[in-house]
Amino acid sequence: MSKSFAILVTGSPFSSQAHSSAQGFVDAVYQLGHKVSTVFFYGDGVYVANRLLNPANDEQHLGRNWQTLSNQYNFPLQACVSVANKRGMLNQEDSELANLDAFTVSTPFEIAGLGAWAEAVANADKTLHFA
Amino acid sequence: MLIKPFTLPDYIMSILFIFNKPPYGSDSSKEALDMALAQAAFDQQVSLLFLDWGVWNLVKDQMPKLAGIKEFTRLFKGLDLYDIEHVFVSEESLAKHNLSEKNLMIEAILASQDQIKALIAKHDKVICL
Repeated sequence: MSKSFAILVTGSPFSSQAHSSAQGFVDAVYQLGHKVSTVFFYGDGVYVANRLLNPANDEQHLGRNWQTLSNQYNFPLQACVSVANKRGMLNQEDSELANLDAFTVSTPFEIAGLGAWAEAVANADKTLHFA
Repeated sequence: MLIKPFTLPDYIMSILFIFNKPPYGSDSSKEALDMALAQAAFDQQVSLLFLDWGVWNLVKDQMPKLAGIKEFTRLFKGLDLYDIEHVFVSEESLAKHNLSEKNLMIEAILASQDQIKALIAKHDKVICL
């Protein structure tokens, strides 16, 4: 029977394997006929949502990899609003509300509250954490 | 603070948050608490377990303001507002850090290593940030 997974990613994209492992897992989830209800970024995991990431051409682009997976399988990419804003990760709306002159998060990454995560956990069959 | 006896309910408990890092060296414990409170606010049944360096989260009179840091640990005193009743502390970790229940700001349940194993097995989900 098909299962739904809520995925939590808290590892930094630059000093952990969390994103890479989570991406491999998410791909496998769909290959086996299951689905992901949300990928929620928390702690230093939110840095992957930075739209200005610009790694060298021959290096992996973890933010773009998430976008590709999300487009392919159609699941949301959500960064927690409080921890993201604290780290300078804001969408255009949050940036304007805070009177800042730039924003760092854009689609398909969304800024979401912890309530969205709580709801995702309550409704998913399985919850996995990549640190 | 008083220590409550270790007992586990008959039913499968929902979410256990494990605090294993000290409160003020990183944002990790504060972020774990925020998530735990959000889950509780959404009617999830939440329990907390403090072990290793995490036991320092419950130590009273830490005065982080002296280091310019907001004192988020006072929120632990309001856990009952979120219906979080199951707060466990590792007996071994307390002893290792030369702490006792007298140092804790709230009432907690002391758990041995074997009881911690049973506690983790009893929960549907376990989150350790």
